[in-house]
Amino acid sequence: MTSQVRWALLALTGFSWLAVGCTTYNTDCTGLVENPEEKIGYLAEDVPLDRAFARHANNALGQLAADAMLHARTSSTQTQETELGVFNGGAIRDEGVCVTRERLPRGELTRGELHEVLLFSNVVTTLDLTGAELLAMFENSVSMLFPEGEVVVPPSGSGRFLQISEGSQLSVDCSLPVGSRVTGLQVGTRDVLLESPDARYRVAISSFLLSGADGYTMLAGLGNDPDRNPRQAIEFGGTDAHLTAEYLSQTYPASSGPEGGLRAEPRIGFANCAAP
Amino acid sequence: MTPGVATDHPHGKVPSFTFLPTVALRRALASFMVASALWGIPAFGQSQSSLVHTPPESHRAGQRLELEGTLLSGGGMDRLTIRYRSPGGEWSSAPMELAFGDLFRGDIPSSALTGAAVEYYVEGVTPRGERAPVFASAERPARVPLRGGQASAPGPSRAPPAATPSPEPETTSEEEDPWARADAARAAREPERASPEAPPREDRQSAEPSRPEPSEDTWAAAPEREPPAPVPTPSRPRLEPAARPATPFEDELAVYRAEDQAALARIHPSTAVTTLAPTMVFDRAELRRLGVRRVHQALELVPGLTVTRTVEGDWQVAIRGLRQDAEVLFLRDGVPLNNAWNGASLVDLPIENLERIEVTLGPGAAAFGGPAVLGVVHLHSREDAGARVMLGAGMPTAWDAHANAAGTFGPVSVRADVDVVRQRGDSNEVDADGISELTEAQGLRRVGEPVGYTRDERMLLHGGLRAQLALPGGGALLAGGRVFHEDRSVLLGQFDTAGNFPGQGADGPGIERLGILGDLEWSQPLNATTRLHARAWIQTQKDARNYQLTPSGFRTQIDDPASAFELGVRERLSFATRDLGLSVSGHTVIAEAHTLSVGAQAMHQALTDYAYLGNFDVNGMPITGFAPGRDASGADLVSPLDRSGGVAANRITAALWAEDRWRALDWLEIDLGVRIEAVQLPVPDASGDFSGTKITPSVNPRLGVAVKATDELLVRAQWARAFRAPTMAELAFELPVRNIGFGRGRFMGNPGLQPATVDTVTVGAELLQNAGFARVRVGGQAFYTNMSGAITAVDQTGSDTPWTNRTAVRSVGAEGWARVEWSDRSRVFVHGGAARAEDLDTLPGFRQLTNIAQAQVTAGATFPVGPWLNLDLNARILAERRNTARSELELLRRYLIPGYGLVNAQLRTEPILDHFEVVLLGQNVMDTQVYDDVPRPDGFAGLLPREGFQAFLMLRGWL
Repeated sequence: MTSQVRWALLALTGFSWLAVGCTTYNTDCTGLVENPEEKIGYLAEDVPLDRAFARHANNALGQLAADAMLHARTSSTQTQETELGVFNGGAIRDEGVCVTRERLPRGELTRGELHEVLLFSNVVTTLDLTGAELLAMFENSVSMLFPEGEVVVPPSGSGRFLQISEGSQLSVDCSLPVGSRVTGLQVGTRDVLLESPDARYRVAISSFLLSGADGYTMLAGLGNDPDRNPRQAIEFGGTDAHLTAEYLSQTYPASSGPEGGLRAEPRIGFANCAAP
Repeated sequence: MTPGVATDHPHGKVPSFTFLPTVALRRALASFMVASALWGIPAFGQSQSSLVHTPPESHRAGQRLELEGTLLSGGGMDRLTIRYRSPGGEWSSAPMELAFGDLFRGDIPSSALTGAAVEYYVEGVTPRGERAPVFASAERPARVPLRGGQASAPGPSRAPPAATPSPEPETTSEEEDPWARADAARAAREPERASPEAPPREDRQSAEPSRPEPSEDTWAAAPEREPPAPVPTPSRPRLEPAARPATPFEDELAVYRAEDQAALARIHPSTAVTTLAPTMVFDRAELRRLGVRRVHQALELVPGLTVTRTVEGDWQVAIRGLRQDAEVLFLRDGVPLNNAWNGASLVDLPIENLERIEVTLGPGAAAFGGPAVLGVVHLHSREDAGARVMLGAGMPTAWDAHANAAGTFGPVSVRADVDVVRQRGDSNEVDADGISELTEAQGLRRVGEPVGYTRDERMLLHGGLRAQLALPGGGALLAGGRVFHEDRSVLLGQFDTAGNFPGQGADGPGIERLGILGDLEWSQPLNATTRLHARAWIQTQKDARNYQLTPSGFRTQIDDPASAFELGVRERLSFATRDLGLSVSGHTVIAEAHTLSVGAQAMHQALTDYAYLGNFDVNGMPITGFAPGRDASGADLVSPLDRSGGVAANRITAALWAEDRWRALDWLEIDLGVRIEAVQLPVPDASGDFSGTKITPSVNPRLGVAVKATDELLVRAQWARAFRAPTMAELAFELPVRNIGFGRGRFMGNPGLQPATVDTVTVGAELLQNAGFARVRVGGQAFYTNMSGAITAVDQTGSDTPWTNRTAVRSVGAEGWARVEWSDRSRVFVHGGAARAEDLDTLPGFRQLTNIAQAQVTAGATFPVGPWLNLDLNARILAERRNTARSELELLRRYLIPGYGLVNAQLRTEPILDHFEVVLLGQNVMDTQVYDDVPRPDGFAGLLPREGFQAFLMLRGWL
């Protein structure tokens, strides 16, 4: 080996050592949030995160997010209280930053864990929807539920299934044809099926759904329609994940314990539907 | 500058081949390590010239005189000419060529070296044809006495420039004069060099008669030898006379020392227009030594640059840890190559017909606008007289043919070039993609089967023609045209889906590009110090992309047969753009070391055709044929051509610029520049559309200072501000609503995007040493780039995501190089760069942009393998890459691309019969598996496989 080659290799080694030795990387295996280890809530029961549970059943975390959207403060010009919050099951993720999370175990929940699971940063908008639009929205929500007897293997696209906020009830019959599966819809004290299709309801929805994605074409563009009085959430960045985290810390704080912790409620009634 | 480093050697001995023990080199390497960076920075030369060059004290009559010099960046010179004569005789000319990196070389032919002396000066020529002496002058030329010459034409005695005293040595016999002995040794070893009849060779190293190449044994044995005795010279009293008869090795050393005496060269060449920023240059000889075939392969070897591929197969250049097509200006002979729609350029051009590639890191000169933000890549076509052809074949199946020719016919000079490239390309297995589960569930592939294979097929036709008419009074009129047509496969798929499915025939996925460039250029001197220049150019590009997102028979609703797409889910995107530009500029020499350039530019960019079609409806069901999609409101997508009156599809840019370069003191040069630009940009309205346009002004100053700390050390600092307007695509690209359950997460236009402001500060130094017969260059620079309002695509929702302005993105790091050159056939180099880029819009701990390698190192060596073969080796090491983490989605979509090293090797013959050269090139000879990162909007964190081992056999011929 000639000297110049030796020296070239030496120089290469030296510079490589310097250069590569200087490389650094981002924080590993931590949620993208300040104070990821902060305990912000208490789960009274395990919360399954698998698709079958997030997209085919009442899910405590999805309901928490819908509640947070329901209670999200909007601009001061708001004249009507929000009546319904909806949160798509596809926004509940089990991938985890470093490990797949099949469930969030009951007990204290950290801010980092919550943001790993609710990882989309969709802006929350509150606007008016008609009863007909609400029905169409929920028909799309339940269109991919499996009838009883089938194995729940949610395909791509089934993330459209909506979790609903407290005070509302939805009944669905999976034996009925797609498009007519909703058998009951109660928003607060108002029965949507009995009221006029033109009656308006104040609903909090994520920007993802308002873009028409996941088949919600009936919502597309409404977020820009002044007639619907769209108002964005103004606290905590106005995004669903951050609103949920703050709502959790206020409603089900880490000090809640098993009795006061978060647990799923039977807000959606399933008839003739496969169970996850 | 002290001629000949050997005279500074503390031991008074000529260094051996083991150069490290020299104090000079130790100092150099220490500086290199401390600086952790390398870059070329000009040295200062004599106070009244721009070329750092020291004339030889004497020269052997009848022997070719090789001159080298460093062009100090003033004046925008990019060509140098040696003007020489016997004292009192007529002036003749010989070109100086830009050699490796930043080195100019040229020869005074032996036929001119027959008298008692030779006089010469060096003239610089700007791209506009302006000529000015850069070393000595016709009135005060440098004079070199010729040993053994006839004193028949002594001529008037003229002193060379004050900084380069040239004592007249006595003419001695070869036995008495070591320089004569060295010359004799040179003559004995390379008779062709001594012969004026020696045939010309093709490229730079071959354009000169062949240098005496030490035999393989000589190189191998050199480090083991006892350092030879120094060679005495009357002008170097510190050296001891030789104590014993010279060995052949010592003769060899003497030859090289004599060459060192001729010059210690190092340049920092300017680009086509005056630039403050450091520029890396690969000339054609260096490009061949590097074993590259395409422009992107050369760019990969530039410190601070990394090149990656997209899933579509396009090449993207990242500079200093940041990667945006629209932030790197590509020029071909001064005409922009970036298209007006998304700022992308065809980076995959062959290098065979290029004279050189210049890469400027940072915004560059004030004359550059538009995408000149992170860097400028300027491709210069070859235009030297003669005809050249290259034929090549390789594996995986590839055929190349390239030809270029240039000649002068009276007042008209014409040059032309053509490239034909056909490749089947490499193909690699792709295990999984974003719809793996669906295709498996639908029985479209078996469990465990790969979802597809990359396809890298390509057909490129590319050619250019340029003619120049010499005008009375020293002016010139130039007209040029260039056309390229590329037809190729999609490498992987549109985003994260392996869309290359066989059996699709001509209707299958692919990309077709057509580009036409034309320019008309005029330049005319007004007087001896001022010249005017004007250029008009047109650039049109058409880009048609046909994507297949799923296999044939794919159902978007798994249980609904009606949702099956017989030929798969498909999309078609096509656009055409047109740039019309006009620039005028004037350049004047205020004083001998003070130049001022001012200019004005106007450009109209237009999107002339656009279509985004799909074979699906909003519900994800197949339709007959292709149709535009619908937007979120249910209406048909409106083309940017029609949207709000097409305000986003047309753009006018006007700019005024000035640059002043002033050598205030012998050791201080100051460069001031400013670019005042006004860009017509659309104005967003409340509904997310456009309400009209407005003129957005910007003032972009540049400041550079160079200080000669010592004869061998130069320190330089620059600051430049650049303006980055959103591209048309970043403003107006729309995606249809499509309920197909996948394929979301792409990036779309944001009418509310604002321009970004980019500040770049660079501080660097370079040390140049002669280590005996070797030339050593070590340099480095540190940089800081801050992009306020950086335009970036960050997936935050998993849905179609608009481009956004970030608060700030910054990058800090260093680049540098070290190079030792013993001869044209023997050199080693190491260079690399490290950059830490951060997006300040996210939380601490998550800010680093790690999808670009933070460090890359390239090392290369060229050495002879016997008298006829050369071996070129280069190895490139890239640091590990990981996903960025600016959003939860990016954080979640983890990937890690381990660091890797690639080795290229090339066997290259010396010229055969003075007209041929054969090259056997192996790229990625270790067949290292390499991947690139890809955007994964569907959350699939797989990676894009890149090319494996490739081999090419090339035959070059020239007349």
